[in-house]
Amino acid sequence: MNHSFLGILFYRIEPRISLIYKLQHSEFSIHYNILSQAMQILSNNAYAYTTLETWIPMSPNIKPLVSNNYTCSYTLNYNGFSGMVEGYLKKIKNQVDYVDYAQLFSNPFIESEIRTGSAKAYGIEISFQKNQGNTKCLISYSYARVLYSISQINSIDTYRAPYDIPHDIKIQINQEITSRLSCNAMWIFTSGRPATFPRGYYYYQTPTGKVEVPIYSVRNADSYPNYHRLDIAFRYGFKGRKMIEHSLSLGVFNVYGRVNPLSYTFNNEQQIVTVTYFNFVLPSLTYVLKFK
Amino acid sequence: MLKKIQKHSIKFLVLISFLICAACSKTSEIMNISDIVTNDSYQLPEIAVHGTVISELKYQEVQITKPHAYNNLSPLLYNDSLFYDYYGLSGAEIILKINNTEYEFIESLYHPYYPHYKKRKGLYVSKDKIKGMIDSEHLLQITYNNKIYFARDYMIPVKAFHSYSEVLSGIVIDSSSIKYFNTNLGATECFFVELSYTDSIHIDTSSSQLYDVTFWNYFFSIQLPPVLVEESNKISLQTRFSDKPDRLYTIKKYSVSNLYQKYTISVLSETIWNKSLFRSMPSNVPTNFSKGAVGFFAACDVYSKQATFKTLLQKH
Repeated sequence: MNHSFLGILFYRIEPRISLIYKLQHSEFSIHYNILSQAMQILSNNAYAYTTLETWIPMSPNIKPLVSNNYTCSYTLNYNGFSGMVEGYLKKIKNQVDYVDYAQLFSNPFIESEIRTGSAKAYGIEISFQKNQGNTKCLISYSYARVLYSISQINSIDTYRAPYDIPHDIKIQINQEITSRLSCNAMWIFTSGRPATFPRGYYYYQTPTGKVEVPIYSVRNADSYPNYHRLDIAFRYGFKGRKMIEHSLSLGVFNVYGRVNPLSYTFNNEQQIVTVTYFNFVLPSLTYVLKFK
Repeated sequence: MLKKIQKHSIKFLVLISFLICAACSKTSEIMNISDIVTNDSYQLPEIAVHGTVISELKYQEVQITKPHAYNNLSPLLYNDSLFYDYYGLSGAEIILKINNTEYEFIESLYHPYYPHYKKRKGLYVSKDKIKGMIDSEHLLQITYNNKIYFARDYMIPVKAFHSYSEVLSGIVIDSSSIKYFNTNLGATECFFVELSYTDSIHIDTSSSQLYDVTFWNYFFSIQLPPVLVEESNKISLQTRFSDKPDRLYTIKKYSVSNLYQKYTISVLSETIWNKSLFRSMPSNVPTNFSKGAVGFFAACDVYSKQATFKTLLQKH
């Protein structure tokens, strides 16, 4: 694989090795590969509601991201049931992140606000699926960590990536009540996303008075509260015709009205924080018309 | 059809009410910062220091305050006297080293010659009037609670200015008044400018004694990418003042080391600019203190000129 930018070429060999051992109903596999990527995503959680993600291309200052990936998995398919367990480890080079006080808007010199280093991602994913019968279900859990190690950014060796969300659970159940009516329920749980919250403050005298300078721990040391919600939907499929197929769905998003904070906006002067959240119990009505 | 609607009117009403409730649901609330749950038991720094040594002969000053956690126990004190009584830290030993010469500091409350009205808790001043030296490293050593904190700053020489417009470029002067921004963004050189005059006033209403008090304002001339300057000027704080034509003003220009510039920009990013386009990655402002103390110790060369308010208006 080669990537070029402004006449500068980056060459990289991308070997891929896979070992698969198949049994009657199951499969065991081990994979190793090296991947390089010319575009990198820059994420931060300084802003409310969005992580303000930006894709940046490689340049003379930013080399392509290179990851060594190790994967080991076991899958089982038996009598309408399937299950999967997969563990992975990624060692990443040339990972980018913003420096402290990076100016993010309207800054033509954004590369000067970036430092590169290494990252490590590892985790395990477990899923179980029942595909047959009137009751179908999918249960999955993943434990995933992403840690950055970039000098000049934090006082400690490694710190959490902006998208380091360790626990992720999904449970989905589909029940066919009659041949036309079905009910679908989905429960989602994820760990709160990383954040940097002030722990205290000290005063600095300016010409116009004293200002409170916040004191933080280390970048992304804190987390927003865990996110979870339950969605339920009923679907009624009308009698089909030759050319068309149509159905009506009535759903409720966030059935139990969980308050999931989206962002915190700190006002250090008054020592308050404005919490923006989404706690709607949101009904929805969907009509689907399909032409065969 | 009408009968059917009437039959199900209660169900419709319930559905519509539900939708209205959902649409009008509260989407934000105010909490105390102390109510936010954090992951670890982070220990706050013990001291916050702000000290400046300048190249003018004077009692050099270092202010020490205590950092505070976000909790309801830390009062918001707007009165300076009450503020320093609460947040000022006594009991520190301070030594300033310039070219192997040591100068001792004592808390202003116990200084025999320091002006009474300027004394406050946590403010330490040099025992004698001293001045910093250009092209020299200044080392501040603070001993507090059996810990020794160090900070160094190199005093770079300040460039002299020949006309007021060189340093007052952030200032708009009309026929009778001066309006200026507290920061002159996009400047080619980074420095502080102080505009001050001294007047005799009654500090204590119960006494007829007059004190010479310096009234001052200063702004920070700062280097930023040009593209940010236009937007940032909109959020820069403005001050306008007019004065007696014969009032004698002193214009002082202070040199600023690279680290001091970085510190000042970081403080602005975390405070005044925090709600603007400048909002950046939240992080601790840098410090030149060791052992986890916060704040900054700066060594600044000074160049000054004097002019009457009338001259200032004319010469600009």
